[in-house]
Amino acid sequence: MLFDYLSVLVLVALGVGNVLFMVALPKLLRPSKPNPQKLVAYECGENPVGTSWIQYNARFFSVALVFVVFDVEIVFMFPWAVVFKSLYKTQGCVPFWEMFTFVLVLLVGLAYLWAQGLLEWVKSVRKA
Amino acid sequence: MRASLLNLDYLLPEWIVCGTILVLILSYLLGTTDRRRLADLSALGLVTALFFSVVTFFEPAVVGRVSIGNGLLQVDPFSQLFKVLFLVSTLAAVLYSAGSVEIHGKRWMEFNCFLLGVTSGMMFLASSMNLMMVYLSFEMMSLSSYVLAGYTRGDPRSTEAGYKYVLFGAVSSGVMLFGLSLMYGLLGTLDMGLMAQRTALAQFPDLHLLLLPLTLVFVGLGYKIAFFPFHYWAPDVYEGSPTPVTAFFSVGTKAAGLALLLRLLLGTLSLDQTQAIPWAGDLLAFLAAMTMTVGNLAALNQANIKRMLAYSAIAHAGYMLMGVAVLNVAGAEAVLFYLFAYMFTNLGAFTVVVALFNLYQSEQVDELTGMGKLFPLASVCMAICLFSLTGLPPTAGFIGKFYVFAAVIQKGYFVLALVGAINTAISLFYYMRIMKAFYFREPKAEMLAAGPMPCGYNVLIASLTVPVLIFGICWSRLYEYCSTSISSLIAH
Repeated sequence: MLFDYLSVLVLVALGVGNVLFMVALPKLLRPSKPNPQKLVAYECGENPVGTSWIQYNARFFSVALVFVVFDVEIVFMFPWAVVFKSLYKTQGCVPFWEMFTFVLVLLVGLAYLWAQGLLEWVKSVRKA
Repeated sequence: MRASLLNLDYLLPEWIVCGTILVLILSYLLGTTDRRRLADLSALGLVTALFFSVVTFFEPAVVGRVSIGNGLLQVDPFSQLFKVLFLVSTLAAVLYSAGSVEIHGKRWMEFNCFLLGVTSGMMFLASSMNLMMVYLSFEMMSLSSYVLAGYTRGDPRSTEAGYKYVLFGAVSSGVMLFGLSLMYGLLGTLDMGLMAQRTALAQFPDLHLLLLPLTLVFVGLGYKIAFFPFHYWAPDVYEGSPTPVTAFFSVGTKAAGLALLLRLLLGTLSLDQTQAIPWAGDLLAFLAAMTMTVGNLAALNQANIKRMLAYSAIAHAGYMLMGVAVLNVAGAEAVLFYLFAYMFTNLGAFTVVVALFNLYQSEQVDELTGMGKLFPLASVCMAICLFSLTGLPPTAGFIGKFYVFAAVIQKGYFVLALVGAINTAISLFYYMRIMKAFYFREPKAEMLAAGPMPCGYNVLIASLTVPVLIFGICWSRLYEYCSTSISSLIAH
């Protein structure tokens, strides 16, 4: 019975073996002549300035987070919209109110974000 | 809201909790920023949800198990009893953090929302009957907990706690998801009810292949319940998080993990009936013994009350795991009863710690001396809670341990019972060290300057300790409810 899973073992072995092969073979064949100019970090042709780990502003993260939430909301609305006509024939208005509740909950979240000033790039007044 | 198409009215507690989140946000936006008022709103919502959970526990339709959403959720006495547990612990959390200095007023509304978010995740987890729903509610619970762990902005310990929690949690959830997907692949369905039928009838001769998926799911569950060897995050996260949050984690999320564990092992895989996985009981017994020992031995050296209670929480997870390891009805009932006893006890002990931190900003046992003289009521309640944590009569902790040990000995795991007994004896030492500091030392001079214990805290501490005594003396009614829950879990 376990022979059914032989193909999985072969797949894993080939996958791991492939990667190891692709890393080991060039390492054996290529010349190694390190040079300070070659080892410098690439920064679009310029000489790198400063450290690479900087502290970026949290507003980028907050914009991305807000985007993801509302994007997922739209993603959920798409399949609902596609089947809505046939749902309306069988279940009447119930699917509409279900989606309405969903959007309403997210609207409350939007209102909160708006009030906290998180929709502005430059936060002017923060509510206490 | 009668949405009888999907039986949504049985989900009234969850509706209420989620509705409370919305009400909190709306009232905050409309101008209510008073800390007391917002706390009252959350408490009101939680009490209402608690009422409906209790009512649905006794409803005959629920006793016969109501399926919701085409098998996604199941409302049965098991889930409703756990919902009662979660709601009581969240209610206590809201009440004792309302006065806590660690949660600043500016973010108090959001704190409530996160607490309620964790609660709704836990409630869905207790009701889940579909592997996808299990993962969804597990993550719902975890994500809000990550934020709660790091809630104190600017405090490096809290940030570190949140960071560690996120990293451990993300990895463990990922591993658990992989295990769940393998379980789906092996058993052919996501629905846990169908899986129960298939394993009970032994339709699948390859059930020993469940070794890998079950181990992976144990990783995720072990992280949540904090048993060995997945407990390493617990001391640091418990110490760094704000104390109200630590108390909530030590009770709520642990109970949720145990609910899922019981549901998986006894409800879905029917390990109480089939001998399909003969090593499961022994493995769990070994893990339980290691967890108890690690938790108790590490707690012996702690000078920080929070860290010590964190290790004690790990040890108690070990005792509860003993009850799960016997893989039968008696053990499961014992675990459920133990959870209730543990909830009241731990919340009582932590409320005392929160109140003392509010007054003195200290968590070190050496600094909190002489509390017996300064705060008699709180110290007596702390003493009762510590005796209950050890397992001395006439407290609920003793009854819980009694039932767990009885189940273990009846099953024949004598070595495990011996390890448990030795650990119980060891635990008395570090619990009594707090008592020694409270009663046998004089209060430091600067301690006398802080005000009296706020009346609200006294009331809360007393109302959490009274059940500990009550359930230590007449516990049969509660045990009956636990039996009803487990029989609804197992009946196929």
